[in-house]
Amino acid sequence: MFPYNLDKNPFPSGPTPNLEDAHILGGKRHQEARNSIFSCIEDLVKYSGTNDNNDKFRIITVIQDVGSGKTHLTLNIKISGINEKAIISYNDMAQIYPKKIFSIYQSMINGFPSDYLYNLKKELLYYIRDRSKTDNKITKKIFKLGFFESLTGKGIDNKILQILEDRIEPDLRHIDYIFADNFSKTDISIIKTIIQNRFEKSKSLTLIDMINFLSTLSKINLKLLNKISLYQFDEFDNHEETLSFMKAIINAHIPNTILMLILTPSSYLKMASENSSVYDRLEKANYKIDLAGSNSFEEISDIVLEYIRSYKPHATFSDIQRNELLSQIKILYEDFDLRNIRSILNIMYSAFEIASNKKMSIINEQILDETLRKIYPGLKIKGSIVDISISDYIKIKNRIDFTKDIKREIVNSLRGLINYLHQQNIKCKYEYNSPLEEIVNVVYKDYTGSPSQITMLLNETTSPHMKSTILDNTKKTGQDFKYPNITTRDNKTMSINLDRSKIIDLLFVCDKIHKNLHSIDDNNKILLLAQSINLC
Amino acid sequence: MSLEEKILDKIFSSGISGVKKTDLKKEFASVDLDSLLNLWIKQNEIIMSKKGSTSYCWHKDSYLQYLLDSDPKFKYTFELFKEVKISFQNLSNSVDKHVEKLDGKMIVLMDSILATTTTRNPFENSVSPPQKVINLQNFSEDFDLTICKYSDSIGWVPLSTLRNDLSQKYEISEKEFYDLAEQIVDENRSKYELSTGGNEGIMIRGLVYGYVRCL
Repeated sequence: MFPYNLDKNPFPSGPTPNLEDAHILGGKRHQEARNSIFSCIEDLVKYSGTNDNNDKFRIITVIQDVGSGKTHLTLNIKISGINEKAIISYNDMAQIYPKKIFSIYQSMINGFPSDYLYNLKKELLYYIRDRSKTDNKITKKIFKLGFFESLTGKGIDNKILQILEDRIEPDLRHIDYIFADNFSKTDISIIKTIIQNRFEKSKSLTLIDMINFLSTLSKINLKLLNKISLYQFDEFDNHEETLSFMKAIINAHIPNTILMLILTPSSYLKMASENSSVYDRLEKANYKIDLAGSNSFEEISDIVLEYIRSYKPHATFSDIQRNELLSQIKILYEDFDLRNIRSILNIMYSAFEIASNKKMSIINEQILDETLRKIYPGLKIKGSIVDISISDYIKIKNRIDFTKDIKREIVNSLRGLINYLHQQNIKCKYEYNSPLEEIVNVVYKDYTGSPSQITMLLNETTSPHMKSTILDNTKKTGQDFKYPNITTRDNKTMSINLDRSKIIDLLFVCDKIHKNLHSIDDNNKILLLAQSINLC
Repeated sequence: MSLEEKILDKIFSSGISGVKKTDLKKEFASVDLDSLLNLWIKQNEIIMSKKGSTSYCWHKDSYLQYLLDSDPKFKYTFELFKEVKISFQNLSNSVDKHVEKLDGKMIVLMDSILATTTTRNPFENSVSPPQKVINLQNFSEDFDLTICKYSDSIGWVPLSTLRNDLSQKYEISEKEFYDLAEQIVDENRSKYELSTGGNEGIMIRGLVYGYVRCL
């Protein structure tokens, strides 16, 4: 069993998403982006069946940083219910080499579902059969139907099956008039190559040939499959030939077609300087999908929860468990700078595996600690200067978040550290058992009022009677928080900034000293910490 | 009252009319009046001058009024001096006020320098010593304005573009710019979004984030 009563690890294990992983799409912004793309498809579907003069070509751009879930979104669209309205070709530009126009074109054809050309051929053969019913003579010629075969009602269907199995070849000299109503002569010659299995084998094509082939495919997709065509280009790059080909496709306005380009802000801005012509066309894209905030904590946490929710909607997953899991993800996000969904999903997958092996019903700080040590050995907490374990870090961080009197915690820890320095005969600026309550003042710097960053004022004196500098207590003043003006009344007032990691270091070290768990190796780290906060 | 005091009192009480030297001699015949008068003249207590051919004595305060009343040239010159004095006093007051203000500013400046230097501890100094005192709020406002100025249709701007503008304006090095930029972005994570790429930018977990936008 896996945590939260799941019988399978719900998280993907691959470094990049695959089609199976992409079934689940969490996150408000990702879902909004998907809805926008769906609306573009539906808009084109609405106009595709009509004969009006509306342009039936669309461009969608999806621009966001690496690891923000663009590929996941793209694959999710490919396998979503929308594939009943659109036939989708997914192209990973990173896998196309050399970046030549012809190889990109081939990739576009191969990007359709694997049975696409087979189904197209089948639909074309049935189209021929249906349209030629009135002229039995032509039908017999096309399908090479003999006298005895024509006696049974299923003669033509059997012939179609044989053609699909490549056992016989139809006689295509007679099909032109069947397609003449809806297709041009160029289209008909391309249709013949599809029926003869020569379409994907065509070599020595010019750019205009490729554009014609793609246009014909779009027409057939709409007429026979009743679907528009959607070409997705993931990892879209600035290669010269890529851009030339895209420009040609855009200029050709291939009918009933959507071009969806997925790229990073970096590539997009490079394009502006290197190929302003294509950049200008992309600036005029019909839909510019902006995944702004896709790496925010809210988005990432919602995606993580969506995996659990989707896998087992009624799983044992209480609000308390959910909040605990989210608080741990927040630590990964904030204190380890793991700010993209790919990294978090990777950790979640491993954490669930480890928890399952240990028969744990939840993901707690020990599991997360072990996971990080396993998959990111050597990972350090941002800003920490003592070797604090991740589980200890999480425990102390939670203690700070929920404490009502951070000043008391800090004062006690400082006293412990000062006394320890005296015991070790290290010259300290403060006396043994200094009355720290009087000489320490704490000013909260986080605009939310959370004690994540603290300015601590210490009067650098050995006299217990020296009064501390008085500051406004700016805790929990809301969004309008401003840094206080620190006025020093004498040269001996010391202002020390403690960020969250230093506060946690201080509390951790003092806990260790208090419980007498520190080793000789810890001495140097303790001294370094004391120096960093100006105690010695 | 001594005889000398009586003589002085007599001169003082004569006001702007003054008293004749001969009248004094008659009244105080028993003293060496000339010596006494010369002493007081030296001490600037009295003034002796002639009206026609007769010598008169005035107390110093009364003599000024006497001159103003009797000599139009002196009166005119005195008025001119008075005006000069008033304008000089005004100027002096204004200089005093400016000096006072400068003094106040110097104190604030010294305080802020002291606060900055005391905030930094030796450990932090060894990690990243800021070279200049920069008002973070002003820098942050300029940071936002520059993003607005250069952003493309979806808001992204290369950090190198911001660095070009702001490093010049604040006279800071590339490293100082990125230290400040990182601080601003880090403190306002819901406001800014970073993107990888570019030749320079903020390093996070080994990746260069060279693009930024406001959310």
